[in-house]
Amino acid sequence: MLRLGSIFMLAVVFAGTGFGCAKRSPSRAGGAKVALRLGDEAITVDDVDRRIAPELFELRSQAMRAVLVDRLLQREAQRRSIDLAQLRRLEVEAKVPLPSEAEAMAAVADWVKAGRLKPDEAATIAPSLAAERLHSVRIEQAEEAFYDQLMKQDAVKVDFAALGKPDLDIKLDGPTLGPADAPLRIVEFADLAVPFTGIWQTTLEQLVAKYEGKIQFRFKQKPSAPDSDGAKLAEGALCADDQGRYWDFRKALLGNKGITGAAALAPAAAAAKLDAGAFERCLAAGDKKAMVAGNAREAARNRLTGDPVIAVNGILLSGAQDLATIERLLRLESEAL
Amino acid sequence: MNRFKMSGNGMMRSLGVLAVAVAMLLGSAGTAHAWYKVKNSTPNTVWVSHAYWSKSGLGCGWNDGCDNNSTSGWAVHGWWQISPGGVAILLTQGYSNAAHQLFAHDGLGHVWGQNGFSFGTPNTVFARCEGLFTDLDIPYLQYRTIRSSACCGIGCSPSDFTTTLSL
Repeated sequence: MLRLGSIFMLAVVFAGTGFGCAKRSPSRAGGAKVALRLGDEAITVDDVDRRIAPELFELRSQAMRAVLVDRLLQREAQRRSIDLAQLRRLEVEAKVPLPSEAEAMAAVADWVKAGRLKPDEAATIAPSLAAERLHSVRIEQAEEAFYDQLMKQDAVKVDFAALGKPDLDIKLDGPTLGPADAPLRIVEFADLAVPFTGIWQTTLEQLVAKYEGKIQFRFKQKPSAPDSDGAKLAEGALCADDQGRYWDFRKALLGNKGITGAAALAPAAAAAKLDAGAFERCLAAGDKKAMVAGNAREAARNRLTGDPVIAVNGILLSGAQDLATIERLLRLESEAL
Repeated sequence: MNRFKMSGNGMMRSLGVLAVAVAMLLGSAGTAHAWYKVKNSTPNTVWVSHAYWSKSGLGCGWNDGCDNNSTSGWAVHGWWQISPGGVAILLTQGYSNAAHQLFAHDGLGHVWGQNGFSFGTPNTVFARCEGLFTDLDIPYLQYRTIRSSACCGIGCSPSDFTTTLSL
């Protein structure tokens, strides 16, 4: 999402800060760097890093992304014997014309409809400003598309294990969709009561349709609190799974924009054609509370932050991702796609 | 972070880590690490940058001495791209006794910043901004102060802190 100039700048910043400060040669214990000594006991950097493994992996992934994009652009500019500014003009700016005002105002109406912009905010946006904003959005998309093109062209491979990808400490329980022997696995921790899960659902349905047979999806529960609406919806979803209709129930639940909270359970059950009596008995018995609580504990234990959290072959993503982001990661994880 | 799409320079810095370790050895309570995070509670993707300033000295927070691109004493990091509902780690070191400021926008006109504090970062710091805000005609990105702690000295321990962005 960076413009080319800033990518170059960030690379300089990355090289010129932090690591350029005071450096000392660490002592080593059996090849590992020693961070701390307590008498005869040596505590290594690896011992310390285990406490912060998820965050460390996230930070490394972030830095890697910046380095990767920087390198790709520099290589492409060198290949063409042009500078980064020229490359950007050719591959991004020239391919994204300024939209018409009518087109832009239609986009603004869509943003309002999707809740991304408030009606009173939209009312203050002049057509020319709307055109500029839509243009900016498209420029961003074009930049990302160009990065993707370069990644494919240069056959990028990332060793996430080398970056310290932590193993998730989770049970393989909960509803699934897709074959158990699928080459790719996506595990979702979501609160069905929050709007971000609804945004992610759009991407999820695209993935289900596009990669049938290639991905196994597993759905874990991550309600905000034991007595929250999210916990009740999670129990309902697991009760629907008992009838083999988790996915239908979920689509009905998240597709119903008019009713929220526990009141949405019955309409979703009806829309998913559940056995209403069995569904009610399951809810009343509270059979699913333990699994919901267990899932929530797993999310906390693994320090999963965000609504939802998605793990693509164990690589965590925070928040409602779009299709392009997931596909980028899937491509890195599998040459089969 | 949208972890994979984030473009920025999240960095671990040796002195900050050392300050935390020293605080731990001196008996500070709390975790041996602290995270400064931003949560995007809007339905839009947001881009965030973070500015901070801190006094020198192991007992009084930390200062990496590596100011970049900004007013002396300040450091600026960005941009992080955060998906709806997502959380990004912006800072990973002891950030006690520091002033922190945040600028964020979602490209649809929502901006978090500009609360009147004098610190401003020239757009040239982030080439990303060139042209993006021409409609707002602002020469500087004005950051919003989000945390300023007076914690200093032995016993001072940084804690996790999350800023939530909402519409």
